[in-house]
Amino acid sequence: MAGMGRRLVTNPTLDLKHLKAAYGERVVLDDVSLELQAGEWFVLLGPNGCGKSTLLDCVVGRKRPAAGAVLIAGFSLEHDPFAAKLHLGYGCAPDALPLLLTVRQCLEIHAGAKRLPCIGDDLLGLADELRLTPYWESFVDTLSLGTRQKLAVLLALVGDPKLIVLDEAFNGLDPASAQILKRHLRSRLKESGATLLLATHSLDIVEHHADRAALLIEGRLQRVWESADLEGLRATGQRFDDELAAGLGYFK
Amino acid sequence: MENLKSGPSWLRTQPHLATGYVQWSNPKNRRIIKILCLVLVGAAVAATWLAWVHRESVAAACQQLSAHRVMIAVLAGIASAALVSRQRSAYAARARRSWVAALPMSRRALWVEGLTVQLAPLIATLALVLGAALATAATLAMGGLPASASLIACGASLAGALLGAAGGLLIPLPKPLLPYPGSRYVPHRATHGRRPVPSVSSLGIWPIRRMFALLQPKTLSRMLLPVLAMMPLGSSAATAMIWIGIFGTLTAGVFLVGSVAWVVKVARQWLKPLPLSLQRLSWVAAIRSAIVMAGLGAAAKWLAWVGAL
Repeated sequence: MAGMGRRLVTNPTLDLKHLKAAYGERVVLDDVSLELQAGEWFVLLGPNGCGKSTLLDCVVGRKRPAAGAVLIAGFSLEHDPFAAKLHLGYGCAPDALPLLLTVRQCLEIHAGAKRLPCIGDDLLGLADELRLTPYWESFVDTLSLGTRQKLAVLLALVGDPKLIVLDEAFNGLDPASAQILKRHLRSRLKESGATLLLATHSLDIVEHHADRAALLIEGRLQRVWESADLEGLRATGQRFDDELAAGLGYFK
Repeated sequence: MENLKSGPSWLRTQPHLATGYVQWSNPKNRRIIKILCLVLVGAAVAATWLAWVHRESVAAACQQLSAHRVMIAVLAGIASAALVSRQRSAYAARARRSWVAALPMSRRALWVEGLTVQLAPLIATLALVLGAALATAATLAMGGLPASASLIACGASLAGALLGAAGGLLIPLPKPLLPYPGSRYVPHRATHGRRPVPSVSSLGIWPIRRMFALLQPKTLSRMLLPVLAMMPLGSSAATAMIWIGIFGTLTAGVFLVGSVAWVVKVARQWLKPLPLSLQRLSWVAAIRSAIVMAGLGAAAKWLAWVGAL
């Protein structure tokens, strides 16, 4: 699984420049700069309320940053949102899904907005693997949390986006589905060169799947683990929570 | 490959509108729409019949409205400006956090979708007004009475509403509420040093707080309008104040009873795993409200006594 840590010298898929975001007086993100390259699995870690979801909201255009810029595949989210969002796939929170639409209708609305004539076979295959197909004509309000989560992830993958943004995507998934999804995401990054930005609390993803990881504390990137650092951890068999505890007192 | 079937193709570039369309065209909701249409048709037939029976009075009322067409236009303009402006701010707040917020939309699609969502309630209202005016005019014409007054009044209100809508679109949006309601960044009152006391008695304050939450000035003032409209002409301000007071206290009482029932229902679900009987729960939830009810009853009685003097 690991070993995808190559850094291509091309236009970054996601380029965050001195991003700052605030809710009223409270500054939630402060001068966050980050570059994600094609084919990279990037994990964003941090305690509750540190600004992970706000950072993702800024990346997908759900929150306007107070300062700084977001570029997706070279397109500015502020000045050319249409072009930027054409390359973006975002899995919204399961509770934000429209309750009175069916699974098929949700996927079709996303596909239609991305100018696709149909839903691709790879996505249908993944839905089948995740056992979502029996719920195809079920209304979202009748689905369990895990099934809604699967739908939210599928929505993010509609149209082969260059940048996939997922927030706590493995919450509520059963272990088998989580494994299928991780395998699918890894092969998708390898084959299509997409980039994955994932906010999570799950350290096993950093240990086994991520190419790079960053720790966000109080709105600032406290540390970024490059692929060599993660490869080193994997080679020595050291656990990532030890690394966090030793280096930053994260668990204090 | 699965071909897209949801909604017409021209709506696909406008995900908010497509969501609304698909939701309302689902069989579940189609039944509700059919019932609403039937109710609307029934109301229209009843209103037309009433207008026919009282056509002399309706004609006189239309003459009055026509004579005051400038005022009608101004009032329609103010109402439509307020409606459009509110729709704009609601759409701006909702669209940014919607489930389709991250989907690509061209500037034109954004503009069309925004305008449609913001103007839809106004267009529906104007269609109803126009329909009512045409039906009234037809009824009056069939009864051999002058029908032009109804059309003039309708024209004035439509013109005013359209100008008001244009104004509503030009009014700058208020600054977004940050942190937005429900955000985890909304500051909470510090509770350091306050030790929780094991007791269910705090459930008793819940219905009272809910009553105050329901009794917001805006809600109360809207509910008072029919009371004021029903006051006989020539009533004094003192009488009006007394009626408003009685109505306010009685409304508070009704809300309080409803709140107690709601709290018992919700708390029963929430506290189901606890060894707490329904009787005890109801007693705890109702006792403080009963005291408040007694106070409200006394206030209403005192107001009625003052009114009788």
